[in-house]
Amino acid sequence: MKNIVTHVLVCECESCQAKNSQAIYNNLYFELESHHLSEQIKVVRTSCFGFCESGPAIIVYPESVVYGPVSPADIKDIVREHFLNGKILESLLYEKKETPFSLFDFEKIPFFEHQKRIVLDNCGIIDPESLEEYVARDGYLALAIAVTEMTPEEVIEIISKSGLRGRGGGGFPTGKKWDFARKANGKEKYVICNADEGDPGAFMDRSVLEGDPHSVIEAMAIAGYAIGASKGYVYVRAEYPLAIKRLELALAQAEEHALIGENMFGIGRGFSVEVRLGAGAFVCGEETALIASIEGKRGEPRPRPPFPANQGLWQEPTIINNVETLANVPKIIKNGAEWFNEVGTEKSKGTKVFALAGKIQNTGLIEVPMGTKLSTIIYEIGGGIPEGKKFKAAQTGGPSGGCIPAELMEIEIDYDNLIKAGSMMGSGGLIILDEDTCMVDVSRFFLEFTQEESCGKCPPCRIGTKRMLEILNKITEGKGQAEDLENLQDIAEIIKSASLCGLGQSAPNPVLSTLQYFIEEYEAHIFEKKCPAGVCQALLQYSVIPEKCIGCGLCARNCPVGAISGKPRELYTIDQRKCIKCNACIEKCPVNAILKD
Amino acid sequence: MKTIQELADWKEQILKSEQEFGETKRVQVQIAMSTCGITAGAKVVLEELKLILKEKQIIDVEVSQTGCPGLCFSEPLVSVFHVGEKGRIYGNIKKNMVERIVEEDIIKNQPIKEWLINREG
Ligand SMILES: Cc1cc2nc3c(=O)[nH]c(=O)nc-3n(C[C@H](O)[C@H](O)[C@H](O)COP(=O)(O)O)c2cc1C
Repeated sequence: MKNIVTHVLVCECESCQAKNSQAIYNNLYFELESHHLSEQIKVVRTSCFGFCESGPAIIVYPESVVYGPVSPADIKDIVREHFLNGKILESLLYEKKETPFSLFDFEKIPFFEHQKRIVLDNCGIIDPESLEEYVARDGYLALAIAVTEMTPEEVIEIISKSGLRGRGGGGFPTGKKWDFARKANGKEKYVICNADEGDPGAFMDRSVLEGDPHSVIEAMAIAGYAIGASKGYVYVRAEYPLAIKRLELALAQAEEHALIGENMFGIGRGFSVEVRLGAGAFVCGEETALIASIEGKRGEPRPRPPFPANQGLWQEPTIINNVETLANVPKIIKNGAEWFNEVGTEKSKGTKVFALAGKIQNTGLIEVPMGTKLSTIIYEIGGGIPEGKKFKAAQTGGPSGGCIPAELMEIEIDYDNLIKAGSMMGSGGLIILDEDTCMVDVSRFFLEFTQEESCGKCPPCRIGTKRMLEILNKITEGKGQAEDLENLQDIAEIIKSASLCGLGQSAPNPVLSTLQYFIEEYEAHIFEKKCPAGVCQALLQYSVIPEKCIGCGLCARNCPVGAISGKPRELYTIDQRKCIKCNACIEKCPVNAILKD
Repeated sequence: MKTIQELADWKEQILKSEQEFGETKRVQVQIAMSTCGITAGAKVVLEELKLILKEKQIIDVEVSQTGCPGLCFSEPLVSVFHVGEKGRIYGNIKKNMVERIVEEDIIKNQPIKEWLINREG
């Protein structure tokens, strides 16, 4: 295997041939040969990618540098400067002509200033229902390069070198996964795209499928070529009708133009994709449960190993990748591993898409380089917390993750830093919590979710989450006892170590991380029977502040249960036994004389 | 698609027809139409826009859809591109605001500053 790292495409269309592109090709070939560069640099004849008016043009990949117009005499300079000295030869650079409708300046929108768009590059820019618009932005070029000019091993090597890690939660190195599947023996192999997206509040994958469906299809075909699979499945939740519609349309278009299908780019191998709908169970996003579901079985996980890369769908080697992971692939093939791994931190390369939600001014879908500070996301991109409230914590990783407290706001977000802080990347939910949020209530919310979504197959998860939820309910209802905190810790450890799949193994995380950072809030609930954030209804007491009350009687007249008594122009009082904490008195009092604490 | 060549030719052809298209159209309007946009009312805005363009018999304007650019807090989003110029994005556009976009931006090429999301200049 030759170690080709660079491709030079030489324009060979009619108009460029007329301008002596043949001589350019020859000169380039011999010049590279004479510098012993032909082992690493391959010259390819192709058409001029739309630069005909300034032809002949040559394009260097992966840098995507375009020179043009060039003459045969320029080749010596280009080889010396570009390939030997590693510099761009500015004087011969092709000057881009504006397309008729130019894009808006993303940088001019404050929301985008700190973002970097690799995955979302096309989202919101192209018409997702038009294959032409995708192709006009170099769509399917990566697939063409991969299958016609690279060996499967080279494709895997580029993905490995890029440092791409799974965006579905685990962060497993994608190249390694593909390599396992390539080396595994099987009659047939499969590529699965995981578009189950079960985390509450997450919609990154939906947006990619709705905004740029071809990028996922292209990536799956590249993955298929790399591991030797000819069949792929997209497993998408049925609650995403628009994503499904656009994906199916894109598939039909790609097949119609023979971009995928029987014989990709004349290499004698094909790739086809089928869409499978999931019913929306959270556990079906777990890879082994998802595979069972595609096979028509109950969506329940099974122990690993064997890992899907060795024994997956129908017992055959299978790779399963998240939508966002895949959407990175064509860009890496086109631009090279170095281009990708320049972005990010030491062990987390590229960008991450987050669904920014909760108590934040600018809710939305953002893509930032790995290593971006949480504070940058909250204040620069997110525009801060509404109503001048204080930032309290950020929840990442959904039901499997945890909370990052305000003290750690300067954390640089990547896989490893989040784990160190007791949370995890997860699939990209990022929920901002402000001072009015009760952390016990937040962990109760997530535990309620996982407890309901537990498939029930293994007892630690099924029973353990139930017991933990019972304790949390008790605490928020003001019936907490001293031993509850210890019990929560103990049960959490058991669930984590003994559960069959990631759902159980990570279910206690929201509780553990809030216990770590907000223990005093749990203690206030248990020992003082108070909810400091004023959320847990059972722990709140409504009372009239004597100094403020003007005795107007509005509260008593509006109390639905007659819990407030008093005479006009005298102090009113609230009967705690009757009060149902409905807030009506607070809303009606004209002088803010009712205290809730 | 048999070769890289064929793909490259096709791309060239698409760009060329876009260019030609640019000569017949003066303005392109894009509306973000993903689930979030549609929930916020993008479809209603799109229909209103088409209706007004038809009523006013404006034919040199192309209307198309895109996916989600991420600005959920400003949906529905309407972007207006005049040939050869940088585009403008308007946010939080309701049905009753469409007429003004047509009158001022699309017809007269005057930005409506208070609705812009991107800073001018
Ligand atoms: C309970 C549970 C739910 C999961 N849900 C998803 C999901 O919705 N989407 C996803 O991509 N991965 C999900 N995963 C992770 C998958 O098991 C798997 O690791 C992932 O699809 C691998 O792709 P990646 O390497 O590209 O991240 C889930 C895991 C668990 C344990």
